[in-house]
Amino acid sequence: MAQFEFERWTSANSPVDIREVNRVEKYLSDSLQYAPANPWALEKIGALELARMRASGIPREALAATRDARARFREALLQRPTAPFLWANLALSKLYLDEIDDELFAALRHAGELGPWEPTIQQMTLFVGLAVWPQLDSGLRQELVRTIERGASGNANKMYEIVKRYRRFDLICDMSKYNYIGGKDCSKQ
Amino acid sequence: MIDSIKLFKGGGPCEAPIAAKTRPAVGYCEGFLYKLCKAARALGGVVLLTVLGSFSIDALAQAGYVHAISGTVFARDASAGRGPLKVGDTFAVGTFFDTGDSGRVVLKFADGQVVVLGPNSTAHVDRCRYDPRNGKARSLAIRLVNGSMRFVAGAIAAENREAACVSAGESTITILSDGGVDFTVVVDTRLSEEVGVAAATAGEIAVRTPYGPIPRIEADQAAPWRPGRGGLPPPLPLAAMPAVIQAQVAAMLAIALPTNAPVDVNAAAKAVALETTLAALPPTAAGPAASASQFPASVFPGTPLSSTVTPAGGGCVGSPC
Repeated sequence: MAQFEFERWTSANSPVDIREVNRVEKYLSDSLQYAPANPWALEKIGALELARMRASGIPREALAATRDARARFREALLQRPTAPFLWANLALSKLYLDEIDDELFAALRHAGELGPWEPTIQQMTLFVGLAVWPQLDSGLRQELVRTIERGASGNANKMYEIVKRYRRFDLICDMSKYNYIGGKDCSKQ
Repeated sequence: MIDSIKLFKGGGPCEAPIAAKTRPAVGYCEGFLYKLCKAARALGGVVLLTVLGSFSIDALAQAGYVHAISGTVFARDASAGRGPLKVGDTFAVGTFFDTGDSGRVVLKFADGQVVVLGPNSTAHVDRCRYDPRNGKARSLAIRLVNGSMRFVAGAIAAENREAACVSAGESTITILSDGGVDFTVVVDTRLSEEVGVAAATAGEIAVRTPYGPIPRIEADQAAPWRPGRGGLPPPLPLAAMPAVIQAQVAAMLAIALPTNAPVDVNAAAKAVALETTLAALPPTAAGPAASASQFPASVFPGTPLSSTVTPAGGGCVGSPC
């Protein structure tokens, strides 16, 4: 049921009522009572907590939701350490907690390694990676550039949007695959 | 970019221009004093002008009014002392605003500028000189002592960005873009060293902080400042900021604002006070009260859930997306 609701929200184009979120979270919490370490349910609850964080206007509440999300992703990773989405979500929740540390860098690295051609993973690692770019080592920076290159095949528009939001045209303007999207912005640089 | 920051070197960023100190009767924030001066001149009222000249015009004029309020908000000025504010109250230059734990207030100025103060905030109107007929006699200075503030430029800042000065704690915000700006600044000065963040919603700003300059914050970007950590981090998309910052800014952006067109302060204040009084009346038989169970759209501001779990136009939380 929770999966059905997630798919319905994704296809809908209107804001989701917070009561709907609470209802689906209840399904997932019930599911955890039958299978306490179900990684799928843990991941979905983590995702809902991040959604709650983004909707919150109360710092204390937003912080609590993000911490809960991080705990859920960590717990799910114990069951599914090869899930790139979980690693990417862990990196994102740590970014929101301002925990720029080795765990975040490891999460970024694992996400990229385990899902190199997955468009969503490409977008998430790029988004988090650019946010913490000054702290990345050269290896992770190069990996991020390779992710941008890979993203040009079938995921170029969204990758370009992220690069544009960070004003990091220097990373993309030399890549011929992005010329047709970024030519105008690159010519201004 | 850097030049605009240098402009503030010298006698303090929000210090009143020399002209304002030596010429008392050149500016005001609404039309009453202008009409009074004009009438006096027509009558040859030298005595009246002399009396007027002995006052600070800035202090006499109504700079703006309270457009909306929630919780308890106090105002303090030299003449009236301290008291709780209500919708429709006017205020003059020199007024301190103080919001409590749950207080929020929307202030509208004569030039159309809108200032929103969040909970636990203190702000001061240092200067407001607005003559609709004379662009040179316009200036504005707002100081956020502590807390959170959203600033939407009115005619003064939109037409001459250098005429507006906004400070937050020890930091100074410079408006870089012509034609208006909308930004939120949060500052905590209760600590031994100031921490803050500025987020631009429209237009571009720069911030001079105690720890160095932030040369440019563009729309949809935010930049924090705090001591240590080897220099200031570069501005990032707001969606990549820590959860606490996103929540603080989201709370300010969720508050409905009036338009930023110039107003006659007294007329607008009366109108909004009347509107509030009417809204407080019990519902008539004509229709039921609004359903309390309906959640406002701002619960998920502006975006469907599929987007709220998607950071910054890309990425996705949860799998599969």
